[in-house]
Amino acid sequence: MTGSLSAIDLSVRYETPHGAVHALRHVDIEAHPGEVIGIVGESGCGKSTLVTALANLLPANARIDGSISYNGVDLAKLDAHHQRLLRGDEIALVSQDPMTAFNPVLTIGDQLVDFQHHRKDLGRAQKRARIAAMLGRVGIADAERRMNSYPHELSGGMRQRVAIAASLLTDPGLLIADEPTTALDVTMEAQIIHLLRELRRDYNGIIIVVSHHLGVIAELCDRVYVMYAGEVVEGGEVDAIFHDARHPYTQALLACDPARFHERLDRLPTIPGSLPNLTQPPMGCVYAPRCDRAFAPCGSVAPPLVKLSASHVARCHAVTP
Amino acid sequence: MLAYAVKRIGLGLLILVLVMIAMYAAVFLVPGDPATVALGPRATPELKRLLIERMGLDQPVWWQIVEFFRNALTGNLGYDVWSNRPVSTLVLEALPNTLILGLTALTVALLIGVPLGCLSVMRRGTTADAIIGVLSVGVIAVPSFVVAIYSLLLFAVTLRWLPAIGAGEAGDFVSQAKALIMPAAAIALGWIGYIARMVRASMMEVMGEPHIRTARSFGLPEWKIVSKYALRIAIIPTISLVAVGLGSILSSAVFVEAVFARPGIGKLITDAVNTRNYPVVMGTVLIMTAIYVSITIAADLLIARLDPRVRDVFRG
Repeated sequence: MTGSLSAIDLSVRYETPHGAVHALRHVDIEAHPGEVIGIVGESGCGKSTLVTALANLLPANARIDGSISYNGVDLAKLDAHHQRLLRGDEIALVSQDPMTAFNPVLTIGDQLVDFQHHRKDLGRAQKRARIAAMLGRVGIADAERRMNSYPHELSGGMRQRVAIAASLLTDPGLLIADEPTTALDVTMEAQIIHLLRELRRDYNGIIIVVSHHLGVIAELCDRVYVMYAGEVVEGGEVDAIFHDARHPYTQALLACDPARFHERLDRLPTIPGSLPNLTQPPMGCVYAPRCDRAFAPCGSVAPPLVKLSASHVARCHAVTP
Repeated sequence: MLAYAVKRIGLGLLILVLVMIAMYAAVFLVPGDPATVALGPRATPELKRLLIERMGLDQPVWWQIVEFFRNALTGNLGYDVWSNRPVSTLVLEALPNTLILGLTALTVALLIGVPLGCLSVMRRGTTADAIIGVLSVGVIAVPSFVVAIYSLLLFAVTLRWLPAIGAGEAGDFVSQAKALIMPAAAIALGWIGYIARMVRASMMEVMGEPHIRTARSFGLPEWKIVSKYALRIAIIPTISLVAVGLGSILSSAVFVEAVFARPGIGKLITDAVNTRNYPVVMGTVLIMTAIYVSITIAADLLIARLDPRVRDVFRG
């Protein structure tokens, strides 16, 4: 089953003893079957909170406002039981760190059999056969033997392949890959990106890829959302974002990507300043304190979402269509 | 794994030898003449000399130890000074009663304590969790002989539901089981609390690990995550605790057997110490140490079996 996903005016805050942390504010995103959506931003910008909310895995101290609609169902309003029924069936999450993603005392095969628990129509032998086939598909040779291995007996790259195989086994309509290559070295990263590109050819659900690595997003995605301090500051087609970025933050982020330098630099460029304190988000634009194009209204008035083309939007006072 | 097992067993044998050397050193160092204490002040010198010879106390200490182990290797643990019966027979008669008592107590404690710990984790932060926490600390704080005496007063004296003393009629299972209830409960109660708290603490830690999030992200039901994914890891420290605690279970059996006048190792060893019956003390201590050491080794091997990472460390 496949359906569209949209988050409308989605806000998430974490209640802590030191006050509420507004991790996500007024986020609008949408995704359609067959699309690969990228979410990019620096550490602490709310990427993980966003996908954790989409996968219904927020911790108990999180409060959600707004709606997450998947296939016509509002996920934010479902009770815990129905949320659980969607996880591992309609919605699958490939987690961040393949080193710690699997239970260390159970074999890979044992865990992957359990992960197919929604498939009541399959017996254990059938589930194991599906695992073997899927492990082969993600490029693991000797799948039968690997199923009897424990996680620590596999390399990091292999574990990430197993993690991807695990999520594909459930035939999800929505596949979320949270930093799928962050914990891997560059060779492994290239291999995993190659694998994801191959897999998307015969997958017709939605894939959401989270990364702070611009190259990964450019390689994999159709559309990109750029996040900063819990807000989506710019969104659009990959080409539009990488070649015609309009938001000052996106431009600064691109300017800091070492892969895009043509000559050797003495110092790597950085964006001066740091993220605002999310317990007290600023009244105006979240990026204003670090922005070199900030002017009068930026400090006090929240910027509107400016529509630049059919799919290209930016949240900035300085941008005009 | 085999090399690991051999190493552990070798270490266990070394512990046995060291314990026995310490025991003999203690007898040697304790002031007073054991024969005078045992026979009383009016004993004749001939009688005292005879007793000292029978206990082998006229030999040098190192020779006594060597003799003891040489005999022990052939299954001879010496003879009871008073009844002249072989110590091995006395121990073998008493041992089943104590083992049944200890193992029943431990099984009951595990069967109640582990699920309580799991329940605490599944209902963390709720009233149920708080009640389990308070009760656990409460029962840990009550010594087993206090439980023994009060349950004796309530169930044996006032209500007359259960027998007050003994281990039940030989061959009558119902009577033996009834005689087992109070002593086993007296030992188990504190351990239920220990195990529940231990399981809760180590499981809370495991529940925060990323692989639990993975299991959740696949929508596995919470009871399955707790009972399969978390418990397999969280039970490991509990196994170590229980293995070490078996020593204290056996020593609380000494008190409990005394309160309920229940035949067993505890009663055997208290009586032997009171009458300075050294061969019986030595033989019993040897057997108890051997049991304790084997349980510790068994627990280590079980942990290696449960955790493939430990297994691999010792494979190489």
